[in-house]
Amino acid sequence: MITNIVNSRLMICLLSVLYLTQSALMANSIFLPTDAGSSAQMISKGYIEGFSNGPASVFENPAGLYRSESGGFSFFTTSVIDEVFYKNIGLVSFTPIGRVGFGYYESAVNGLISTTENENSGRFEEAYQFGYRVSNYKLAYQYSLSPQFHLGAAYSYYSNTFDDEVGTGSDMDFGLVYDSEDFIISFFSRNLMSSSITYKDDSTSQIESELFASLKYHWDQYSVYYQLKRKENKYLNSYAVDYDLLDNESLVFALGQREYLVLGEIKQSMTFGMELKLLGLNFGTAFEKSDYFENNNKIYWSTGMEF
Amino acid sequence: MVKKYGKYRKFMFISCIAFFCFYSIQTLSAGTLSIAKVSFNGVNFGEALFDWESASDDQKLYFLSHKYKVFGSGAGSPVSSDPFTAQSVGLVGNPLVYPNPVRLSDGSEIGYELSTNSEVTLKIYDMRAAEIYSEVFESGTLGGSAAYNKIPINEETFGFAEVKTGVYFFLLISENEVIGKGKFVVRP
Repeated sequence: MITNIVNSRLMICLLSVLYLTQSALMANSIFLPTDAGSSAQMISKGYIEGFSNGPASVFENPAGLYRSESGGFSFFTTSVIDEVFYKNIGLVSFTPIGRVGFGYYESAVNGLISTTENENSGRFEEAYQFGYRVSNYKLAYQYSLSPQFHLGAAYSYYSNTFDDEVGTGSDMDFGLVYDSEDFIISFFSRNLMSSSITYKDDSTSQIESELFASLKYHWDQYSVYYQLKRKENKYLNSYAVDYDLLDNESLVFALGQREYLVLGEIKQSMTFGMELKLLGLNFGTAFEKSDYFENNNKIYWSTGMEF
Repeated sequence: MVKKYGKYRKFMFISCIAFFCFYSIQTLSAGTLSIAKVSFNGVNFGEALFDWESASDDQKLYFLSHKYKVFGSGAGSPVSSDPFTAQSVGLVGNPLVYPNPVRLSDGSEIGYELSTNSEVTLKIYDMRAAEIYSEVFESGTLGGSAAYNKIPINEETFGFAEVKTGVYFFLLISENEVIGKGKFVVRP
């Protein structure tokens, strides 16, 4: 009883700190790889973060690493319009003082063209080609205060390279999870300090902070999800439902809707997908409609293993 | 109560998933664009743009549509080569952005040359394929003329909204066909 009261007060204090540390939007932020989602499972559930079962929690909410019953890895990849290649790998391992996770996430684009202007014709001409890459390394730690109450934190290191430019920066993530028999509540702050990536020429790109409050309610073979996300001083809702066909989590179908920001405007999209678990391996796929003129589908793939 | 309607709920849920799968997959089976160089006596004078699809049963290619792009004019260039109509809209060379990377406060330009005057739509997408800009250029005006068009890209282009550091992709579309594409980096 006393433990529960202490845990509740601690949770309220930590949430207050998370809320107050959300800074106002600054100019010149950067597209982070996590903007594309961290696993097919979370994308299929309307990009609701904090409920991944495996090491992908390193990117979503490090407090969620408590669900990894043994060590394991996860892998996620997708390409957007055949030009932007996203991939991440997550690892989790046990230590005597808690679970430790490692994650690497990158987004990369190749074949960008640096140009010159022909002084005579005024036409633009190709000079050379270069690539663009954002890399994100995460080192996470998770500790369980009780069977229901879990804490997690992660250190994030970012690097951005393009043309002859290199920029680096770092930040911190912090998360809480309360897991009862029927429902799970997840609070997560990504890039808590809202720091910056600094380039060679002293220009900076802000690493945006994001705050998530998510709820999962389990009923029969269904789970319903809701997430409220705060980003760029706007509130974004996501809803999802999944259905555990065989009632043993081996084949799960999910359907979701999310709100997201495009140049400060709120837009909506539908997602759906499925997850298959077989012999310790899990496979996930997700689909989402896209604005793109040439191909209006985005397809995501995830795989992982517990050992 | 839960047991009574359990099977019905399963059926409804699976039906919803099946509908979304079908809706998605049918839009995946669009044709593929291929570009073939056209030359005469070793001199390149154009490109043929084919939209085609394959049928797995007889291993043949079926052309859905084609367009012809002419490089320059005068001797050596075809006047008319139906069905490769010389009047079809095309680009002379590839569209390029100068300077690239782009600092929006300084401004940049997308440059391209059309083979004929035509209405052209410019669309710009971010790294999640979300459309952030769309503009229609009338035939014969800047952006739609058979000359070298330079379209400015700056803070005003995006309504002075915050544009993140990252890679952006643009399409040039005429008569509902993509006639050119490119990409640029927005830097801080």
